[in-house]
Amino acid sequence: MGLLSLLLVVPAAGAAVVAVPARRRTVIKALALTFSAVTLVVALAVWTRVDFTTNDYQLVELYSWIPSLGVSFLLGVDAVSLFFVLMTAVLTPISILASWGGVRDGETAFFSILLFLEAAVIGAFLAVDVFLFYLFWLSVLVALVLLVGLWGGKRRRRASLALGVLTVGGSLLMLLVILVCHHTHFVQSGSPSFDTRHWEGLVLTPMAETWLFWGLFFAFAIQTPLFPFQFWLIGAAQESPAATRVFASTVVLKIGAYGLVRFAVPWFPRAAWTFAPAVMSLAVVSILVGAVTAALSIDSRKLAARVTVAHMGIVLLGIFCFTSEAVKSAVLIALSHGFFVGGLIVTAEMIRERTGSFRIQDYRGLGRIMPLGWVIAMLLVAGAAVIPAYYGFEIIRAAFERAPVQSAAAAVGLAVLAVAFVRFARVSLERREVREKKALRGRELLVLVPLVLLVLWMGIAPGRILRSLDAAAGAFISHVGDHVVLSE
Amino acid sequence: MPVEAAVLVPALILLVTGALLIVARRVSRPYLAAWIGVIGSVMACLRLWEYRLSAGGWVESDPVGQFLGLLILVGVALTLPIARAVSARGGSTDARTSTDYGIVLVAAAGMLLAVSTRNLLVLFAAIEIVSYALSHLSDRDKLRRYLLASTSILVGVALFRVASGSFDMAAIEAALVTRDSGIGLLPVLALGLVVVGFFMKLVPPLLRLGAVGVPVALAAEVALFGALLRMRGWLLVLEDAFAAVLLAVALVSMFVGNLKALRRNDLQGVLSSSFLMHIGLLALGVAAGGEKGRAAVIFYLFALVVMGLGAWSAAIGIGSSAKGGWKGRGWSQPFSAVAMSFLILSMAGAPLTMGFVGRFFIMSLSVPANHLGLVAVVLLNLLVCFYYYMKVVLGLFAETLPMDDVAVKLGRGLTVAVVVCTVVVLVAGVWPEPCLSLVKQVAMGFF
Repeated sequence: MGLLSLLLVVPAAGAAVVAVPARRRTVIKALALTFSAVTLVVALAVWTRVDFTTNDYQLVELYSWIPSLGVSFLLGVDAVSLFFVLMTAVLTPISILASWGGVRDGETAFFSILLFLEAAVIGAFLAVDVFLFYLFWLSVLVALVLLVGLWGGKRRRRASLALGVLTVGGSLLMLLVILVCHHTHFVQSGSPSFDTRHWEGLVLTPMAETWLFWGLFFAFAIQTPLFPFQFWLIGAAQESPAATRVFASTVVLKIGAYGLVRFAVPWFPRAAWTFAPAVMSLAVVSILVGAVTAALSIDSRKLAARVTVAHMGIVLLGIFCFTSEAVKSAVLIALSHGFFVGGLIVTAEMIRERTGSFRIQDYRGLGRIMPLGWVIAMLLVAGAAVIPAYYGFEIIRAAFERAPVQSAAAAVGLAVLAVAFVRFARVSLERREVREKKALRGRELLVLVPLVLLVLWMGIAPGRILRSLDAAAGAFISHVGDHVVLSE
Repeated sequence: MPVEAAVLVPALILLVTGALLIVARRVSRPYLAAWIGVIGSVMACLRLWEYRLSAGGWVESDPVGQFLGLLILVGVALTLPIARAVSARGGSTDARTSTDYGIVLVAAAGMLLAVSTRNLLVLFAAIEIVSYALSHLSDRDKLRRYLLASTSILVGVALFRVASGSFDMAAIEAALVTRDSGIGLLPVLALGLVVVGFFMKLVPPLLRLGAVGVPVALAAEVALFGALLRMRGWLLVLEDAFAAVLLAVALVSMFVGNLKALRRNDLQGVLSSSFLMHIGLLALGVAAGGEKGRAAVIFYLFALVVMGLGAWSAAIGIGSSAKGGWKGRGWSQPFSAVAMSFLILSMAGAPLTMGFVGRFFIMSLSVPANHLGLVAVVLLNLLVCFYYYMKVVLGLFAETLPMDDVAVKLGRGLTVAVVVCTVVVLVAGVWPEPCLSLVKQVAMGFF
């Protein structure tokens, strides 16, 4: 069994082991934490084996699975998928620790589904076979619907059904595109294949490519989530326990951005280039809507979700600039977003435990209630404000040449987003009578400190990550460039 | 033994056992007697393998017919513990129970004939037996629809005779192909009447049958699609007309099934209505035609029988007490609820389940047939289907259990049925290749 298979087997096995009913709650949680920690170790081992000077898939594992349908169990890793896998592997044990005392009923099922979710997300990032990717993606959605629907707040049923209908609807759109591409490839090559590399050279009419591109784009846009599809995230963020919120807001939606980079653009490069300004427009609308609604938010859960919508809009803008620096900046923002938003969600949960509220207005005097917690929260807020702003302006600069209006609007959006963070910081600094201080507990420090360190690393010295993405970004741009030149 | 006789033996065993149970009424162990009949029929079906690809007069013995025959018997075998559990809870009399078992076996005999014959008149008679049995199991029999459907089929069969001079599918095909004046409207009309009539006979009962009737009706769908596959395989000259009729039927079935399922709040009502959605998918597979279409339909029929009857058995187990509903019972009856949730998610097309593989198989055939617009409509229906299935799963676990809830025991028979179905759905979902290879081999062995 290769390392990549191990990355799937460990959390999946953990899900099966945790599912066995145990008497003591701490045993369930300890087991879940152990399996997620082992997954992180395996992910780090994969990191040491990847060669970042090439963009080819590495550590490729191919197993025959369903030859009757032309489906293989084909896994591979490159720079982009590796970093997303690492992000997932880091955030899973953190999510488990964050939910340590939060889930009181059905812990067995909850942590089992959470580990299954981790395996499915990692599988989606590692799948080279499109059928396999689709299968993992759908597994993620079903698991998320269950986590929100069964362990959420009062309106959990509505939130989970909205999440399910929107995201599964998007996945069915992808299914349609997969079926057409598979048939087209079979007709053109004579052999059935779901290998995504084989679909990068499909000969399509402009009309067909246009329809297929937009179909796939919207399938992933719902997942990202782009405006006006963000409602599933807002609802899920409000109704879910901390672990689910962390996963939904930081890990799951990255599959949308990843899908655009891995499938939509490589399969339909001409359409991607042609419609890039339109996509940028949609991205900018997301940035503006996310930023304005974030600035007006009174609930910290909705604030985090709306900030996410804005940030993912920036990521999308960066991807469709089709310059190496913009694409690398987009990936960096996507990765760092996982950590600072994850940290903010966990911090909000800790604040709620102390103040009884998610309302931002009730965060007054936070510095006096939990001084160290406040410092950590401010560092995370700074990361959330500075990293997307700094690299976002890199993206805006790259976008200006092709889409100046969208570029200017995006800059306005970034400015408005800063207002949201400043407001948050200002409220927390307001004076307030405090009866007793409630310092951070050991478990809480264990969750927050790594996140803060990762955010600081990505903000101050992201050079290693950016250099690691050179080959991948270069190949991505070259692929589009080659097809655009050919068609001209 | 001549092939005609060999094909009749499994049906005969069921018929004799069923007749005994109906007529004798006070058989001391009707459940055991029914099982003996089913097992005897299974063994006779397995003996048909000797007649791998044989035809004689009005019957054909091929792997498709044999496999579907076994599938019908699996469906009947799963129905028996359901019938037993329902009669035990409902306090039925021995006579009524014995009659019900007998009716189920007689219906199964008709189903076995339906998948083996290529004579339209015999097919009509077989379907009549099945639908008459279903009407007995229904409390709300709609005689009007029954008569309309019977008339439609009979007129269609008669029109085939007029157009070709025969009731035999092979002879009809030969006559139509060699016609100098072309096919004409008559055979197309005949086909439409027959196919629509069959659907009217066997599909709407799913909406109005009770706890015992629905499993029998589900097994009857195997017979329906077995007959359609045989007709589709023989009447190649009517290929386009067949595809058009089936596509129309598929869409109507999906829409009606989804609409009904959305409006129902009871567990069994949602399930039985949703079966129409799956029948629509099966019709798509038959419309696609060819060996692959046949394989896809056979696989999905297998999946539907196992998923549907497994979920139905679990739903019987969850049941509803006099005071409470089914909502919130996930925590008090975890085994039934988890199994049902898994089987329902399979029916919704969740990954790593047999339902996902079957659905993908059928959908993959619709694209080459250039039915892209139809595929999009189908996907929309699948989304609706996902919605009400998720509502059920959330209703089981996300609602609060009534204070006065009394847990209902599943019983040994139903427990075995649920476990077997769940394991099959999971294994065939995670490792579908053996099952897919088997159905492809079966689909190749067709006249």
